[in-house]
Amino acid sequence: MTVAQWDAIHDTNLRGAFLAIRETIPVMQRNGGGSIVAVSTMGSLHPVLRGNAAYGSSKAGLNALIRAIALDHAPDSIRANAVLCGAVPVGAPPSDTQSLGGPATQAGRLMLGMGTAEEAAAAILYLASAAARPISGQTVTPDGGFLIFLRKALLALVHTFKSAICL
Amino acid sequence: MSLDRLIGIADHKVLIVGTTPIALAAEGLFAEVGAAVQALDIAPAEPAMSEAVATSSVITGRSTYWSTRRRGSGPTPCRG
Repeated sequence: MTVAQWDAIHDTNLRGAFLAIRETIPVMQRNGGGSIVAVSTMGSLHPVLRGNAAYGSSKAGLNALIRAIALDHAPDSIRANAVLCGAVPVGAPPSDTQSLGGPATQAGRLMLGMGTAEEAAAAILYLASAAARPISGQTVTPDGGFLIFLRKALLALVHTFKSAICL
Repeated sequence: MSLDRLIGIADHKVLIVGTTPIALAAEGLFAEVGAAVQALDIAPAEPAMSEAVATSSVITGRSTYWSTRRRGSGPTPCRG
C-alpha cells in the first residue's frame, strides 16, 4: 500500500467525516439538537479481511471521533453514534464466498446470515429517531452475529491448542 | 405513545454525506417515513464540505450519515 492510498482512504472515511460533522454541528446547535450517525465497520473492532489495514484503522478513528463528539456536544442535545456494518453484499451475491475474505466470512457460518444495505439503513434510521433518544456515544453492530462467531471460533482454537499457546 | 411519535422521523431534516449502497438505502428509508432527506457525494475537502452543507436544500437540509432535527418536534424537543 502506498502512502497516497492510505491518505485517500483516511481522507474519505475520517477527514471527510470530521469535516461533515464540523459543518453540521452549528446547524444542529441553532436548531436545538440533532443526531449524527456514522457508518463504520465491524472491521474497526477486529480485522476481518486481509489488506484492509487502512480501511479498518480509518473507521476505528471514526468510532473514536463519534464518541468524542457525543461527549463534547451532549450539552447541545446532539447525539452521536456509529453503525458498524458487517459484510453487505452489493449487486448479485458472489458465487464464491471465499472472495469475501475466506472461510470465516462464509454466509453459512453466520448465525443470522449476511446483512443487507437496507438492514444497515434500518439501524441508521433507528439511531436517528426519537426512539433512540437516550443513546449516544455508542456503536451498534448489525453484523449477523459475525463478531460473536469469530470470538467463539478463536476460543475454540485456543482451547484446541492451549498446550502450545502461551497467553 | 403512537409509533410515529416514538420514531419521530417525519419532521426530520436528514443530510446524508455519501452515496454508498448503505447511504442510498438509508435515503430511501428516511424518505419512506416522511423525512426531508438529501444524499450528497462530497469530496473530503474543507471548501467543498462547507459549501455543500451551507447550500444543502435540507439544512437548508441534507444527509449521508448525519441527520438534523428541528426544535420542538417531538416529545422531548431539542433532542434528536
